[in-house]
Amino acid sequence: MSPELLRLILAATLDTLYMVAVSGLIGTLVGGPLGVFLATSGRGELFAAPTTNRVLGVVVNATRSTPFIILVVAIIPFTRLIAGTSIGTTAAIVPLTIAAAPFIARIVEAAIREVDQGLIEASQAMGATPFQIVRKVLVPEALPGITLGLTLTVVSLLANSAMVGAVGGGGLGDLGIRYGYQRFMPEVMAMVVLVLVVLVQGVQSLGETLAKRVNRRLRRP
Amino acid sequence: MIRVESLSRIYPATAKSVAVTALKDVDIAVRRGEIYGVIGRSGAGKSTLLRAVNGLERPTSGRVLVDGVDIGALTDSDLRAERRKIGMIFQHFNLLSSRTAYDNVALPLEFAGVDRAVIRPRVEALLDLVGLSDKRDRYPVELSGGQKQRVGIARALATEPKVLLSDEATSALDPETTRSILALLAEINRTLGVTIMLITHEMAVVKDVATRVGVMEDGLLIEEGDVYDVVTRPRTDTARSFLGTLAGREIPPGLAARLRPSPEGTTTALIRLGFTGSRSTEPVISRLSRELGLDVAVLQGQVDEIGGRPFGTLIVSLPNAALADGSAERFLAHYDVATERLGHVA
Repeated sequence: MSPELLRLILAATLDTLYMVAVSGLIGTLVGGPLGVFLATSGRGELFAAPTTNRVLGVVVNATRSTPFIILVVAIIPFTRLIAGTSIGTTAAIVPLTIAAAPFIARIVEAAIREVDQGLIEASQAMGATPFQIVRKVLVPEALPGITLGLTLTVVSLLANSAMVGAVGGGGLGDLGIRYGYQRFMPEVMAMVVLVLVVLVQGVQSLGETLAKRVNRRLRRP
Repeated sequence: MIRVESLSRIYPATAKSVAVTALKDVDIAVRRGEIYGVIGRSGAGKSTLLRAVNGLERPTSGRVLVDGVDIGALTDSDLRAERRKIGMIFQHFNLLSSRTAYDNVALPLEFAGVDRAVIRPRVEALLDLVGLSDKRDRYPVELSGGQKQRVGIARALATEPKVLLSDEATSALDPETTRSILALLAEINRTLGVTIMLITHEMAVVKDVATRVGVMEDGLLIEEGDVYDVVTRPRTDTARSFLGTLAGREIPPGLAARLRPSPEGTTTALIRLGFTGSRSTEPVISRLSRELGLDVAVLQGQVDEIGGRPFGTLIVSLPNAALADGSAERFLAHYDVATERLGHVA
């Protein structure tokens, strides 16, 4: 493989990492609090707001049920509004983020709902405010689940980022389609797949290690 | 210290269930510095009652006063401040798995915004009090049930409460651990002067630590009194049924299987005798045998103490005739011995 191609693959890898990192970060900043709210705003819960809860739930589900490639095209005007352009790697971050945030929200919600209700009652009996319960009890107790969920999110972002070539976003997927498929260069396609496999493996192992480290329910030898 | 005044709690009907009355017009006065036990089966309303004391349950009517403060009338932030004066421990401990023993005990102080420099000596003193100084940095998963409850107790005492609520705190523990936890509660009550209100379904728990007891059934407080009186002379069937589990009160199983309610076709009767007070040491049985000329067999017996006062329980068999004419029971009543007919055997 020529140095030229290797340089292309390296650049595409960096593009992919850039898109995944930024959309993952913003997605977490939006989806995390949203997930906490979804998990605590049902009837009779800490921040009871059943109607808002239901409306947000519908919005989240709608976003999650839209196929990613359709979401990318459907929100082009919004992407242009935010990123100034609808084409390119940075612009691709907008749909990636919008797909990631509801995903993360559901993951955080599920992890928090797994926390024993008795801990909420015990905290209330100790005189905790609802915010203190979220910050000092629910989030720390749900952290192993949240960590595994975020790992899953990053893996699905890697997969989604391969589709943004459709709107001129760069990255490994785009490289694979344009060089590997359209220019009949199977070695590039193989390389792209290999790099993606290594990335996913790396993310998965890192996520599992972190989750295990924050999980105090496991006995340590 | 705790005054419960005509407290009722009705869970309104929902689409899926009918309305449930958990508490009906309950009145209780827990005195400063005492250990008050509430005993009842699951669903009797005792858990709702306990949760009304720290405002986790809002009463439908009536009110709860803790040290003169009407819990139901407080704003959210005043209620939080008041809850710091009321500690609570739980059947399943409710410790945070993500925090060490030390950090679990520190949690209520963090909620209260107490300075770290103040938290440290207080948490260490509490871990010392409950005998867990060496487990300071252990996570709950590494602790036994008894140790977890000790952490729970230390946590409940962190904000130096005047009242401690115990929600079936020993129900998930084995008998030996139960005794050690109850001894710790009694010690806390004695040394720190903390008023304790505990709910349980085991009379042994009440008998071991409580000074007074209330018996609950179907949301009603059906019997109340000093533990000694309720254990030795229960007035309701419910109270009597809770006594059944105490050592020495059970009819030996082989005999229980042959027990019949009517004397027909049988020769002997079984009765349970309760000895209390100063006469519990008198030779009543031998006198009964000698003076009435009866053959008396002792089948089961136990002498116990409640708060240093002795009481004895005996299950004896007598000829049916001695019960039929009431002579045996009259004789025993003369010696202040409580009697309870259990049945007849061939």
